[in-house]
Amino acid sequence: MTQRNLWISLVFAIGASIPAAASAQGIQVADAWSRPTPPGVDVGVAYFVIRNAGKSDRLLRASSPVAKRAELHVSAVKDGIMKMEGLGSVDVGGTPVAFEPSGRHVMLVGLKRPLKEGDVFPLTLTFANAGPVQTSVRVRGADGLDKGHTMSPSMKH
Amino acid sequence: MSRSKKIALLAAAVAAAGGILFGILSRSDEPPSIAGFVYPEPRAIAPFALVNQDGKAFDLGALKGKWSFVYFGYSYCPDACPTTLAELSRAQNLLQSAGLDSGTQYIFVSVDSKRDTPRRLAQYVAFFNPKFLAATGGDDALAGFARQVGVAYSFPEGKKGKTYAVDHTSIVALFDPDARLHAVFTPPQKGEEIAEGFRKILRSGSRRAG
Repeated sequence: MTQRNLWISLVFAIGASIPAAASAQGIQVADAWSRPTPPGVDVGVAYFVIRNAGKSDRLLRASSPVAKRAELHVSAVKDGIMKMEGLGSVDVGGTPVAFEPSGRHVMLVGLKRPLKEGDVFPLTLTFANAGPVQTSVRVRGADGLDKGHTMSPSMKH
Repeated sequence: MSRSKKIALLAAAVAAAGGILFGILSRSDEPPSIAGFVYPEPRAIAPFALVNQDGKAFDLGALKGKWSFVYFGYSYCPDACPTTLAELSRAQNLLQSAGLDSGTQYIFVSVDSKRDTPRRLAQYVAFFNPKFLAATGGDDALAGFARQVGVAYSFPEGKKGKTYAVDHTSIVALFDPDARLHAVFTPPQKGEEIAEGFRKILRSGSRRAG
């Protein structure tokens, strides 16, 4: 195995060892999931839910070792057109803030290797007050369901 | 009761019965309600010339003979397109289980022909469902087809590099086997709703033909 592949595998192994719900100062990031990337595509996505039991905070940015950049975006239909806009920051108060399909999401740009169903990788969300909160993101099936619940017969590779 | 009152009552009853009958007849002609809308009359569209994932011609003829689900997007789209294609795949699975899949086809049209070559699209759509087809084309050809379907899209000013996003209308259009635009499923699409809407459309069509 080349050194680069070894390093990337290590990143995924570390990702698998991080608790699924991470928290700091009342901020909890849970249910983080992603989709597998089709061949040739090096952009990915991450969804999750942020709960804040402490004082108001703001999500400033995201990062992950699996991609060159991680950006905060929101998809929204305006006048019938699906637009994707960058988000400078996201307020996180008492109500859970969901990053979910067709809404807010983290866009992973420049993936270092394709994401496959079953992969787990680390994602760090940095908040104005709470600082960095790391979580682990599970890659579900292409239909957005967890492994073992896909509708079509899945072939393990 | 006086005679004139009886006549008035009878007239009212006949009118009411007629009104109810009319209501029943017109209700069966109303387009079924789906997660989107059904055109009161299917719309014929003008010829267009795109290429499919094998680099072969994709034109009006390609839409004939089957019900076609058409979704416009681009492969560098991180959220909306994978989400919608996953739901469309789910719809295909549901229709297949219901035995309603043999006369259908599913086409992803990329509005981003600069980055999405036919070869790239072939790999991309096969990932979501082995039955999916794809098409793309030059700006003029694409714009002509998209506009007729009610799909608008735009590129950011001064787009450069490989990571720009494309705004696009995120509908799933349904064409009938005569290549007429029949219905539109609006976002956020769900596989179950697309399958259910399609079944309603098939049922209403057979009633109209009978």
